[in-house]
Amino acid sequence: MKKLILGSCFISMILLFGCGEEKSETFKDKIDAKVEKVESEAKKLDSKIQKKASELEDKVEKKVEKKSGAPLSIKFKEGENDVTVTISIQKPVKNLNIQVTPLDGLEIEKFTPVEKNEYTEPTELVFPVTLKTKIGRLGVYASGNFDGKQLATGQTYEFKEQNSKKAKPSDTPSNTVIKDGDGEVIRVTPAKEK
Amino acid sequence: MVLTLKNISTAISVSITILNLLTVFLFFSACGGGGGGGSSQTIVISGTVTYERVPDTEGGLDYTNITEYPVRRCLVKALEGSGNNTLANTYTNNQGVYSMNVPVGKTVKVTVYSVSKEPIIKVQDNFTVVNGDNARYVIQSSSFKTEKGTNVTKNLVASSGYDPVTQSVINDRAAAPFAILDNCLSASDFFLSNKAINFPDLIVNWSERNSTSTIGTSNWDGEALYILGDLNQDTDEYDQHVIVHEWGHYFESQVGRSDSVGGPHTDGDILDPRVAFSEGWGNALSAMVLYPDSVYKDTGGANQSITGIMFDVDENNYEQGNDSNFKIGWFSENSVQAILYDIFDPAENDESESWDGLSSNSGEIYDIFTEDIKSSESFITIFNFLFGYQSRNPSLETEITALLAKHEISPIQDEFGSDETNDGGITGSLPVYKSLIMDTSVELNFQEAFEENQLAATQYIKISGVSGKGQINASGSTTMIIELFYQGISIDGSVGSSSIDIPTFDFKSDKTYILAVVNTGVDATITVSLNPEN
Repeated sequence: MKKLILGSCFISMILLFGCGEEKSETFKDKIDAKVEKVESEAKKLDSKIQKKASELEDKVEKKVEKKSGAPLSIKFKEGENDVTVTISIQKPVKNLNIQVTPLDGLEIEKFTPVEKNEYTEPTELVFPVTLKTKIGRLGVYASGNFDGKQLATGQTYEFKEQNSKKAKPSDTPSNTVIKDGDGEVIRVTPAKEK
Repeated sequence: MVLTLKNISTAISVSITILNLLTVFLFFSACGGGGGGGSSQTIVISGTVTYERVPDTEGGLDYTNITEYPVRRCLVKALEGSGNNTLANTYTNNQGVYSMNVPVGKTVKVTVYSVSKEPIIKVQDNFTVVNGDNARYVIQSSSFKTEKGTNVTKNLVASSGYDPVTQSVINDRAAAPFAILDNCLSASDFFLSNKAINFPDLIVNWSERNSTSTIGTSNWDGEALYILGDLNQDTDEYDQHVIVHEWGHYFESQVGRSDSVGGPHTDGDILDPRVAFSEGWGNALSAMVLYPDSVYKDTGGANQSITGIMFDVDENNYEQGNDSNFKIGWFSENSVQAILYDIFDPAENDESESWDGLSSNSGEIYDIFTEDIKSSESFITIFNFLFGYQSRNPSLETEITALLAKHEISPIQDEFGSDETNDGGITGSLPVYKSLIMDTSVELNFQEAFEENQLAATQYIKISGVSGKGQINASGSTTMIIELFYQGISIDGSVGSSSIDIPTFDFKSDKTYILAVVNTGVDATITVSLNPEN
């Protein structure tokens, strides 16, 4: 493809120079600029093709399967003391449940979950979530019955400003990591004994 | 020394042997402090190891009905109090029972590893790595001293971390790795009950940090399993069908063969048949292993209280065959899972399904994967499984045909799906394999795909009976990929626009090659030709 475009450029140059030989330098400059632009576009196109091919090859190579989520998208918009959650539902849905959950130490004002709602046509739902802190993650989990299929989509929003040292994982492991006498790395949790 | 002499009588030999044994006994008695409870003597440490399983229900995880299950076939070590040296080790049995002899006079911690034998499965923390080694999960007893003449019982439990007072999970989820391992063992045992199999070692990565942001979803990445553990958002450690589904990908990849290209998928989708078979297989296997619980459940949300994804593998959905949003056929994971499950399920489960007159077992399924599917020249789709099954059971052809008719699949002729008539409403999907021989060309019509793993986004060409060096050319007004396969292994390929080639390949007439042609753009026609090398 690249060869083809560069070839076309070359023919164009010959034609242009053939027609306008000995024209002013300004005109030649214009032609040069045009050739440069075409070459640049050819490079961009070539790069785009290579990128697309690479993406496809990566996908074929990786072969990671992914269970489809529900036909909806979840978007977050961070404000000073709140986050606006926008859920775009693309298909009619029955028994729609939406939970908004503070994770990793985040604190929010009480959020009343959506339970068993029904929408007969695509719709957009907007939920403002008031933040008490900005450390951690906000999780949204939406599920419902779409065309007879029970599906779910979950997404989390991680606060960019968070100080990772302050962030507290959902369940902070109290266990220790050591090497046993055989050199095996182990993550030790006390057992319950009975 | 005396014992080596050849001309000595048997009676003398026996006497000297007894003398030697007595000497050895006296030597060890002296070292042990004259029988006064020294370190050469041992006691028995034994007990039962269990883990807490939170039941997966149609209404999320049920923390009010946590039940203990045995930690089966897992490594147990008696680690010395300081230095963590191994004093003794053993494995639990299928009831979670262990027993080992440990020297007296030691400070000991009984340590149970998330590592099983027969087969070897290791559950590790993919976020805790020390000098390149991932941490294995262990539960450990409090330390205690071994005293002469006093055997010790240590019954240990891996906790779910659930606190009934706050009604939430606030403590370490020590049970999670053992719950995952147990489901993987159940899947292995499903086959081991009918076959002697040396399963390849399996690594399972689980962590509280395994979220949709870090691993996408629970998956088999070609080398290991990754399982979600994001509390109050999406955990999978107790979602048994999810675990077995993913184990099914390990099985087909490591024991059988998978040609799936992955990508998003769900029931009723019109999928590339390689994806439909792989995903349908995972779902079907989960219902087989967990029989009679055929309802696939994937929980999530706050307190894991919602079963977000749920479907009955035994449901055939044939009544939805004409629904524009739900298609059944050879390209549907739903059809694949229902067919495979109906082939497996015992006769008593078939009574409500008049068309299901089939009952196979895990041994036969294993044979189909290892003997029929693994070396197939075609891509692995439902046709390979069905052709293998029908070839082994020719007397059941009528029953097989009746089952397939429910899913709008034509009677099975071969592994290539020849004579298939259900096109799923997608341009270019039939025939399943187009044919190409030397000095000919074939025209492929593509419609724009919603997803790259949609039916006919990749079209298959069968090159059979061709001998000698040939050049493959593909041309069309689109960006495309051509890739040549033999027995599922990629041999050569090319990517580009307008016109692309595999310049030369030496074809053998006794082999069937498959050329996969991918259209990456909008509606297009691609012409593929095979000509002798210039």
